[in-house]
Amino acid sequence: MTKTEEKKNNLLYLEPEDDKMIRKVAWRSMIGAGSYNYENMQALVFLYAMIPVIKRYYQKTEERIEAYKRHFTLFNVTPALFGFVSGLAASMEKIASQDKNYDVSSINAIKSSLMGPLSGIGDSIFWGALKVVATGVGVSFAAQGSILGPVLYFLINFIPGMMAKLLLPRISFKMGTEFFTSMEKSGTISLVTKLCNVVGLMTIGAMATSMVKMNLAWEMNLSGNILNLQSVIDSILPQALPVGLTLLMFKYLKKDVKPMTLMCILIIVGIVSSYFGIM
Amino acid sequence: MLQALWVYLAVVACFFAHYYLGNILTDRPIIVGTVVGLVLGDMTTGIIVGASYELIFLGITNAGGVVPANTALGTAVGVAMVLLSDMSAEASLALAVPVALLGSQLITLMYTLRSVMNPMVQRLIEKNEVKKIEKFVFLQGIVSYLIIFIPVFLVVAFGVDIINTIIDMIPDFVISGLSVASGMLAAVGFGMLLKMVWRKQLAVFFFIGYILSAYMGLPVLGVALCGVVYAVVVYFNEKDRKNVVTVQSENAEEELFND
Repeated sequence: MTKTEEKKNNLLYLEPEDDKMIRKVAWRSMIGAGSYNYENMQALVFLYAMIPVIKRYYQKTEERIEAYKRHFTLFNVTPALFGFVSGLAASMEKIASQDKNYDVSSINAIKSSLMGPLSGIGDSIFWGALKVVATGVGVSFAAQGSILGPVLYFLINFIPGMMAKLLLPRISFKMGTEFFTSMEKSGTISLVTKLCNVVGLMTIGAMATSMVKMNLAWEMNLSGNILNLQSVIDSILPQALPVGLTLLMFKYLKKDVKPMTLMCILIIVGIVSSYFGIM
Repeated sequence: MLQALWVYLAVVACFFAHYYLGNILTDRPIIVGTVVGLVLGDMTTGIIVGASYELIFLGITNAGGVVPANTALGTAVGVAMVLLSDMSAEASLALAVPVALLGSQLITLMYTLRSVMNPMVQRLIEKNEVKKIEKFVFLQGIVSYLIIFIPVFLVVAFGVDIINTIIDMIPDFVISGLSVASGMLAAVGFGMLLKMVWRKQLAVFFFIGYILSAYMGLPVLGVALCGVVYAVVVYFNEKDRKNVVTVQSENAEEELFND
């Protein structure tokens, strides 16, 4: 095997053009939770990370705008693993730009099915294991006033996190490109994208159930018997309110009601219902 | 006054680094304490007080949308008080905890206000003005951190009483109302996501996800794995069927030629 071949088989090797793009994606992905908000969470950073990718693969303005819109949707993951998803999304945008029949809704489906599982893994590695080790080491030095405390605390957190942030996008872009290209060659890509939507929808269902928070505090007084409405709902359809609210929002969004209008309504509903003790 | 300004800028810098380099934990007491100590000219004390705060705030991680207390805000105020007014670390804690809790209210408010700014980004996308979006990513962070850390400046410059006066001015139902609303806002985000992924013939899978989560209490990871297992089964079934079909048609062709 020649040296160049060996290099190409390396998991981290990318063509120079790809390398330049993925480097940008990796650094941009680092902002991760920096632009967090309650409505679409880390969407702004995802859009920000995808800008170099979209500019490279799409030349028409309308196509670019379509792609930008696609990535300004709810996303949330442990920031250290953010680049894994944006690298993968970059590989899917590459395939989508080459194949006009590619079902682009699968891109968001894959993003949404990854965010839960990756956060589960990422949180336990970075918040569970690393941070605890760093605190143990750091505090024991710092309690004596030694500068080693904060320095070690910083490095133990910083080095593994930085490695994940710089290397994961390369790996996921390379794997993603290979995977989707081989699927396309074997003609199963439409089945694969459909199955991605299945997993995506299931995960969104589970996330809407567990991440949207809505609880009634209202108690009805029926001739002396106090009836807690929330516990009644919980016994019939647990978490019905968050999921119902999500579907209601979806219904209005499909009718092209602006997200802004819906958010303002929710904020007013929150304040009013808390004033009257409903929620 | 100048010292208050320095402490304020230092803690904003720590917080910004934490969030804009991928949660590198520079917002933790052990780091903030060190930096505030450095700025005020006594790093060793800063490190020691920071370490004791670190243990107290151990369980609190600023991850995702749940912000139980703003540890950076609390620590900056506490360490500054120890260094500037010879307070003991224990006494400063009585001051730092309420400020940290106020900080978490401010962060809730910040995340709510940022949600309301999203339509602006959407308008920029429509106009294909990505340069402005790229600037906005940073501007939003810097401006909002400069705002939520104002209490550090106020407390270090004017003392604690000013904060209590401000808190008393806000009615309780507004604060609790905002936290109720913050729980509901994600519904709009998930709605937008559904708009992208929804296919009528696949809608049933959304409800399967709901059932697995609500009735069976599966975590999101478990639900995703169920979906993956289902997808793998369907994929190989379909592939087998396709193979059978192609083999059959090949046989048919052969028969045709045999005639």
